Amino acid sequence: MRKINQIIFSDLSSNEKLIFTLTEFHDRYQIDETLFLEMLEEGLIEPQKQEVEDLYFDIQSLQRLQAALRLHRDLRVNIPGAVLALELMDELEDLRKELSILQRHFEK
Amino acid sequence: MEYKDYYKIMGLERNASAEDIKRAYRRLARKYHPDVSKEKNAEEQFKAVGEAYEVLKDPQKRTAYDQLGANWQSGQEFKRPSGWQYAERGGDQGDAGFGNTSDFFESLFGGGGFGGRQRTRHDFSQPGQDFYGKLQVSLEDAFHGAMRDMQIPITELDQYGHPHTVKKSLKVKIPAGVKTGQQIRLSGQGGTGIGQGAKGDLYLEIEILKHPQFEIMDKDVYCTVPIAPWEAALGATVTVPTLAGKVDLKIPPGSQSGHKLRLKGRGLPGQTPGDQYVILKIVVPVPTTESAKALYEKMAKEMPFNPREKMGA
Repeated sequence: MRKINQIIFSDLSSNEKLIFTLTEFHDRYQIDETLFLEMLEEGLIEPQKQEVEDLYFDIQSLQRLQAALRLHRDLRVNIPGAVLALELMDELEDLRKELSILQRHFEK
Repeated sequence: MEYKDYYKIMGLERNASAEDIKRAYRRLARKYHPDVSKEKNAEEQFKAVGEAYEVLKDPQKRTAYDQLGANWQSGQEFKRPSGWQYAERGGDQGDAGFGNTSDFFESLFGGGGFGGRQRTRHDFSQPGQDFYGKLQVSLEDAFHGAMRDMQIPITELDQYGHPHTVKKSLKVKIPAGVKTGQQIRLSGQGGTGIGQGAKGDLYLEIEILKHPQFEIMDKDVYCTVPIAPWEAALGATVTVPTLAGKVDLKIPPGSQSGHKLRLKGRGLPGQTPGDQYVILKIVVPVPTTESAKALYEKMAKEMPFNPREKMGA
């Protein structure tokens, strides 16, 4: 398994960079390292940038990780299942939006 | 405090079996899970179901709860019966992650041991809790960016370690180009840490309110623009609304209803700004005068046209 020293999230609202070490990650967001790597390998999140042993993510990735973990914990789905659920949710969300655009087009 | 009918919350009869309870819980947890549900108040419902399950799945707690009797109505004013005794006898500490339990639950079964609200730590420093909230913004504010004054209720521990709620005023910068579901992180605006632990952060999840004219799809803006049949047939320049103000749009001759025209870069701002799509909708005027009717009749005569040609009709 790849070695990661730091996981770095960038803030949406400013240029400030948030730097998370794996330990901080574990303590702060209760994200287990094994689960994290599993989600990375499933392609749930993609690093924005990669430097030797550091991976950089945007803050949206943190949101997705947390959502996948909640599904894993609360609904007892495994990680590939949680990733699948989130991807289907994205698709559903796109369809809802398309429907909304169409409904508006056809309303009087 | 209000009585909670745990059986009703889970849609169960009072004589439901342990299997029924488990099945109902799993079904409702999927239905109301805040990450998948579009139900109103999904989060509250999810917590209520979690709390009900916490009691009903545990024979000890369920027996104690059943002793309150079946005559209570959901929401009825409730006071713990005198002589009520309940003590946890080891074992199940419950599922983590449902957050706070209701006053009703705590008056019967005590707090803690459920919800993972406190993590046992052996060192002397612990970072403060992160807080989460929602922030509704208009599409205009999401497009232009905005500053927003907010009052956030925050539970803090006083010097004796007792929790109390205080209101905190914050100025929140909504960056231009935010989208529904994105979070704004306010560094250090969360709970106070213990010892050397840093303060937690406050995360605000953005929800863009429905706009009367525009729909948003990712970074792109969509709107339907009505046009007259002759504008569609002959081509025209019409004024259309965008989030940055009105612009002129050239409609090519021979346009049809449903055609999508792109206004490049007129969508939500970002590194690569989104586009605006205008969907044309041909509106046919109802002839109200004799001369208007005559015009339609003239068209019918002089323009052979079968709109149902592809249907073979």
